[in-house]
Amino acid sequence: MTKIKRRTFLKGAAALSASGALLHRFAGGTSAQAQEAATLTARSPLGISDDLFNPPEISSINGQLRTNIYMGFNKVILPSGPTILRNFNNSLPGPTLRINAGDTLELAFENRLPENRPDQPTEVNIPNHFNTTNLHYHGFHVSPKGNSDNVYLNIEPGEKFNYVVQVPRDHPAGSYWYHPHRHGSVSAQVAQGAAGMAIIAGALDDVPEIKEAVERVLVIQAPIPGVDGILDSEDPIWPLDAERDFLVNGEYKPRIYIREGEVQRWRILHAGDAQFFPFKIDGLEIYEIGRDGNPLPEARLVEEVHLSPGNRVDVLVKGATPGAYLLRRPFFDQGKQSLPPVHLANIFVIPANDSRVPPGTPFGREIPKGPLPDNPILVDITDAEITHRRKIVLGVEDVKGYFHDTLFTINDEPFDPKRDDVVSRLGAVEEWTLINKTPFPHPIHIHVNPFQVMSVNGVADPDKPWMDTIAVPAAGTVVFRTRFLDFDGRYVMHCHILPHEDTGMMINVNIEP
Amino acid sequence: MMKQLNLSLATSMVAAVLAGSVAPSVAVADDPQNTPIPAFGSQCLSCHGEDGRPELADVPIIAGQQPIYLANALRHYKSGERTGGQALVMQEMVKNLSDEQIVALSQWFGAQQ
Ligand SMILES: [Cu+2]
Repeated sequence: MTKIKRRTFLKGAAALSASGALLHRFAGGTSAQAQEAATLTARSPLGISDDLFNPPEISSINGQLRTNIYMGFNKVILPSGPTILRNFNNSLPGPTLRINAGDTLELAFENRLPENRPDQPTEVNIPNHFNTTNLHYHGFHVSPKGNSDNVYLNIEPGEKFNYVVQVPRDHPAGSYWYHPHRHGSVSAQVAQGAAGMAIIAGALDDVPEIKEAVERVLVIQAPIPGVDGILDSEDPIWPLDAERDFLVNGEYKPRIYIREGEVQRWRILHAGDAQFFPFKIDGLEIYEIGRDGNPLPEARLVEEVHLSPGNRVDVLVKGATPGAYLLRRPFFDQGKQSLPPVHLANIFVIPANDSRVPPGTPFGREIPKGPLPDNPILVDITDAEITHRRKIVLGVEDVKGYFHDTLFTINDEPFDPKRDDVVSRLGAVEEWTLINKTPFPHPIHIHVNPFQVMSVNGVADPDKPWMDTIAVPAAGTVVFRTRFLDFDGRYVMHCHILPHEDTGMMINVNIEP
Repeated sequence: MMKQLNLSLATSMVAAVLAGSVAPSVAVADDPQNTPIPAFGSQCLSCHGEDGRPELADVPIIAGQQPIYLANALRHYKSGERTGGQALVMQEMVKNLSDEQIVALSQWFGAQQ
């Protein structure tokens, strides 16, 4: 357990941080825990005390990452004041897990939350039992069964569970994440910040220009506290504008330093609960190099980066003229709901020879030119390969007796844990057309196998990117293709606006051997 | 606001005269613009707006369009002659509508000013 408490700051204190009076934090070091995993405390990759810290990190040793992960109450100070959140390892966000393809994750998981209150709804699509939990490995191509990426588990207060997740040798390298996934409490727990980055090394990491760059991990979240202490009702997180104060790695409006002429590599995770997070940095160049962990064909200069809840993006950010820059979400409409701008972070471009940066700190300067490496198993799916096509219709209904009289549906049915909505078999290659009948976009995520996006609203995407979470536009459509490879078993596809998931927008996919 | 009400009343009275109706009070009750959408069309409003003026950028304004055009479009969504992209959403919405219902909805949206 880390002794360094992640801190967030009151809105008043944030003004101080903008003027440079951020409290001192400790620089970290590496230590080995009985050859089980290497841990790194939260630290600035530039070694500057008031720079944004990467979250604490746990990495594998000799093919194994064996560590303790627990869910418990975490006292934090949010911009809106002190509160208690349900978090992993007393950390907002949770520690970053870093492994190689072929490694085994052995997580001794413990639910340290207290008993649930007795007056819980019994209907499966009404949020319930906020102290019951489990773990999901988002984007991982691993078994959905047993003690692997099994989201049907209920880990009750006081219970322990050993996860053993065997990551295949040919697993695509990239930025993934983990979070709780128990239907009924997933929105409440993720809305409070229970999430962490998971990195599978390789591919992009070996590109020389990227290898020499400083690496940052940015986890975007907007934790929602309970009305009076611990969150025990879905009400505070239900409105689409519930998320107010967006944090990066638990920090409100942090400083991020870049040296003049420097190119930094940022792995960004949108671990928020509901709101999309398009963002830009006025005056600085941002190059996208990967989405949902998978490399793009080449580094691409973008005006604005688009993230829906659940997405990751890998970018290169170039420090130009010294000065202060704003990382912000512009005003935008999420379906029928207008959402306000967000000032997420302050970027400071400092002189290349700034004396606060210790000698020997990596200093990338170039944007890679030409094609980026592929993840070798993510080969384009051709028309000839398709063995089956399906239509998936996203809807919402007013039904009395449900939470806010609302049920979200897929193919006209709310989630039923006993029903198999999609039955297919190993080796099948399918094309799915997702049709959104509602006036709000839904970021749809499927477990175990990534998919290749073919078109959005009938417009073909020339990149045909491999993703695991894709926003289906309001009153719009998405076509994707996917291969069911390596792992049979039952798993889910659902909306990553998690209050929608908890109120019905999820189906079971059963892949037979 | 007052002016708008007067105008709408005037329009409906003209409509009533053209339709050969005798009593203006009956004409107001029959005015499609003041009549709620038929129940089978309530699903249209979430995207196309309460009065046919959508709050979503990629959803067309259907208020006040010619009913003959609207009905033709709805029939083509239903038959699959219009397909792909957002037409697939419309196909889902109209798949269970009868031709009489399509005509009624087209007239209702066409009458929204
Ligand atoms: Cu949704």
